[in-house]
Amino acid sequence: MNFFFSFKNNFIQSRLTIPRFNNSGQYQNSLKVFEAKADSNLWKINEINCDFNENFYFIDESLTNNDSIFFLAKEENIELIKKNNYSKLVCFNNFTSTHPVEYRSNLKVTVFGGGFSSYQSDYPFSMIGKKGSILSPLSNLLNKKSDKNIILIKNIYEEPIHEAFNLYFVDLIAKKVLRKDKILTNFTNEIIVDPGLIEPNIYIFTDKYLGIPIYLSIKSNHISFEHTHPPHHYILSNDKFKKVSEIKKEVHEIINSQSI
Amino acid sequence: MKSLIRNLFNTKIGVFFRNFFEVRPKYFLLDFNDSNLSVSDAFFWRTDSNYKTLFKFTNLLNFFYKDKESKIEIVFYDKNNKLLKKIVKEKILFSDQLLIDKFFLEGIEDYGVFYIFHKSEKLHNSIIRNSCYLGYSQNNNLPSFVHGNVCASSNNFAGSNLKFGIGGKSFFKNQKYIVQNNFYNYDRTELLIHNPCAKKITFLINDVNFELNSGCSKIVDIATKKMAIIVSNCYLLRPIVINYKSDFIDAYHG
Repeated sequence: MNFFFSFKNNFIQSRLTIPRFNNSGQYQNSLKVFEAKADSNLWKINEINCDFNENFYFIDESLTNNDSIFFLAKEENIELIKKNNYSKLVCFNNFTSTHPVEYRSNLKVTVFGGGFSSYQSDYPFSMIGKKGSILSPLSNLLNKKSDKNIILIKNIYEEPIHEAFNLYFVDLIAKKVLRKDKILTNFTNEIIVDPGLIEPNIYIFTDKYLGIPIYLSIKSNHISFEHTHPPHHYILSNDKFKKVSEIKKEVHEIINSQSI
Repeated sequence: MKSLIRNLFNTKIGVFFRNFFEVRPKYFLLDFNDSNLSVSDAFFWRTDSNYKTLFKFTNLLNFFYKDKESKIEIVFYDKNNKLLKKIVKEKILFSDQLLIDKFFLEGIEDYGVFYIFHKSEKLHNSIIRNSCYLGYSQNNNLPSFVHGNVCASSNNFAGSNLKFGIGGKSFFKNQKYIVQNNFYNYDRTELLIHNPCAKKITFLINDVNFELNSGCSKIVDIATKKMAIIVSNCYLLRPIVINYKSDFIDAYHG
């Protein structure tokens, strides 16, 4: 099962388009869009009354914020989370569990009076119970010469908590931490990036939770919006987790060697 | 007995019949028991219509295996799968970028694909996949970035076993792939399609017939159609989508 999410700030409009069909063209028209939001250590679940047609649900920014996540479900599926007293997200149904291509929504951002950019977006249920760290390069999707460079870090964790964790900007050659930010679980975190940090040897790294890093760059009202893959995506052989874990250990050591 | 069947199932002929008859098909014809293999997505370049393509990539062998002497070979093909040029990059620590414009391609204003292979004299006993990032810039505007999305070729680290067409193909033209987005309110939409299979594929896009030989590419303008419904005999015919409105573009994988 996949969750979907959006983003809101004061100079970008967002729109989430959730398909009612999977990639191979199967529909399940009885599924509706629900919103989940962590509030006072409970998941608050509401059905969303949004625009729709026979193929898509449309969630504009009036219906979203940086806390909310969305999913497709039937009303009776919501009973599953009632059983655990709204204390933990559950797999509500498997319609959005597709392979090899993930079931995706389209998350589109638009600069007021300017350009637009989107990517096919999802947050897999398999990620929400895991802790770990993000390691992602800055220079692949940001642009030193842009007017604005922003990283969005979306975390969804199964427990309804807003826990702070650390985001580091690490120079892997100089072995230095250049910046540290606090970000939150169950939130779309927005981080403005100084152009000086956009170098091939500088990576972002989180110390406790996973998430999806999405890179947004704006220049002369044109905009680019895309996510990076987790490092293990680039290794197909059985040593993938060993190799990624070795690199993450090195980054941990850089962080631990400095008092930030 | 079970392991005998499993082994037969994974032989070359077994995979051929699995894909032919759509019984637990393999989407990519890769042998995961292989090693020292560099797999590349098919990266769609374009220099037509005042486009430039910016490729941003990571030296995976150095990043993951500390192989500072490793090299990167990038091989360019035109839309008819004719080899255009080959370049080799050395001494890349982490990431680098390459601007593909008509000057880089000796005046060619067209489109096609390229592949990136990591080369090394060392044996790392691994399989790596490069699916890094392409930025499409029209009229010198900020590139709209998209990551690679379909494996299409492989070579060993020594560079002596180049294979194309690793995309799985069915006997039947019944593989439906619908892009999960609507194109309402755009001036027009283009789909960038590449054949990742070893043989010719035939496909329909919104009921219009097309065919592509192995390794060939096509830009299909679907005008103001609101959806893209692709039916083919390729298991994963997954386009890059470019939406246009006014002076702005948005590129993403479908």
